[in-house]
Amino acid sequence: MKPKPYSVLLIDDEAELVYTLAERLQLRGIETVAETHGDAALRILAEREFDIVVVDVKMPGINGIDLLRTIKQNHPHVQVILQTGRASEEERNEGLREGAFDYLVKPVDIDNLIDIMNQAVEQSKRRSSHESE
Amino acid sequence: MTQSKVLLVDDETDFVRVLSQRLEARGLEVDSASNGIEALDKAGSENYDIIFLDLRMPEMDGIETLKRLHRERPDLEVVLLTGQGDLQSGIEAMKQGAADFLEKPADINDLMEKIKEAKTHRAILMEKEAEENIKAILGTKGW
Amino acid sequence: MNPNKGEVYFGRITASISHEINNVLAIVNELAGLQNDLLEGAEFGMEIDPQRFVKISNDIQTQIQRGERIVKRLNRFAHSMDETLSEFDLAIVVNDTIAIAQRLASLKGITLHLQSIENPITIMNNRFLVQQGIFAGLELMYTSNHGNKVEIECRQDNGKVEVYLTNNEWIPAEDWNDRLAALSEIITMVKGQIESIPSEENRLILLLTFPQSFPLESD
Repeated sequence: MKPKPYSVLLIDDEAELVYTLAERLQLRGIETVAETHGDAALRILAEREFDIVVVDVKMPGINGIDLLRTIKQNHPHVQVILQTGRASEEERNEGLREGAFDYLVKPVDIDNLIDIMNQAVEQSKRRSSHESE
Repeated sequence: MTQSKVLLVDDETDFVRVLSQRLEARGLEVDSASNGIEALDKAGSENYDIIFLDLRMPEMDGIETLKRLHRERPDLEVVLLTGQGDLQSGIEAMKQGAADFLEKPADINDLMEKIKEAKTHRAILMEKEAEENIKAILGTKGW
Repeated sequence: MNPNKGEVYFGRITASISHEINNVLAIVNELAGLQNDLLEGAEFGMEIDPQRFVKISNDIQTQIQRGERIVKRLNRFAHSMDETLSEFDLAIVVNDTIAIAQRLASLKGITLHLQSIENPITIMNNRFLVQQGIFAGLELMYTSNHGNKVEIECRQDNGKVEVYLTNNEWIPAEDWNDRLAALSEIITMVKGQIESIPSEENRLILLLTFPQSFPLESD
């Protein structure tokens, strides 16, 4: 399998969920790191770069929206995709306002997630070519 | 391919605003209308690759708007957005010439797929039209 | 009581439970997907490790058991509205309510610790309202806590059941008085009592007392 040219950080407090999803993405050749806490995610983001961060909105400690804000402030080029429950329309909209690329409603179809990650990377490319013009 | 141009027609302005943002993030040009009349107006003056039309709107509903749109511009690619499980309205829309229908809330990737299809379809139609124009010209000139 | 408050409470409980069920589904979805991925990989010559499949099956089983527990809790909650007065085990209600409120509390970084509870604690009352009272009490405590835990203790004493809720760093939230008034309305309806006991170092104890048998008007 050809490695996908981007790296992903997954954050969800449901450990079982986040590690399984990470394994499935890795099987598809996508470089993936999984974390169960917002703080840990911020630490790892300070150490190394990721193209995409996928964040669960409802988490204990730093919640997803605050995490999104912090990431966008410190790493504006990172694309953030939110995962939300079915009934979280307000949080979804707030997330989009705060600069998330998009959201996915759980349970997530992995092909949908990959499509959306591809689209997010496309947008990054369009932006950077725009900036260099 | 050039940027696709999309018209969203729905009276739920929050829904339209969010969906516009999501489509624009994917590099599309998005216009919106909050009712059928506005949709007819915009479709008359702009060239859209695809129109997403909500079925349930006050005054002029989606099917009626679709009929009127096609009266003016039979070539328009229109996709109806229906309620969950409302197969009947979807079928009715197809009978009235809709390119397709999707249940709300539609998956963003399904919407992107429809936009891509519509763009290709329109390209083929335009090519055909050009061909027929040339044939017609050739015919009248008697060559 | 304002019927609206009951509806709001009902909405919060069911939203919390459905979020949990959704999480279970999401995990099962990934585990089943992973199994599929590995099988597909095998078709292309990737080596299959049977132990890996055993582990995935076990993980799915664990999630299904978790789902069953949540559904049982939801079921008990739904049935609690059926009867006005019934005999029930308060220990189960306390455990259920902590499980439901825990998710909401943890969003504020607070854990709910059940210190001790006797088993069973049979009482006669309106189960729905009793649960609503305990839930409101827990909510009041974790929203007014700058510490990290709320401790819960239940004691049977002389025809009464005492539920102690203790905050380790009490700082009243803005709506403390409103919430306390709403809570005491519910507690009055179930013929219980409410008392808040400040103690050393910003700790606060909220004591909810329920009668074990429901006193009728003629009593």
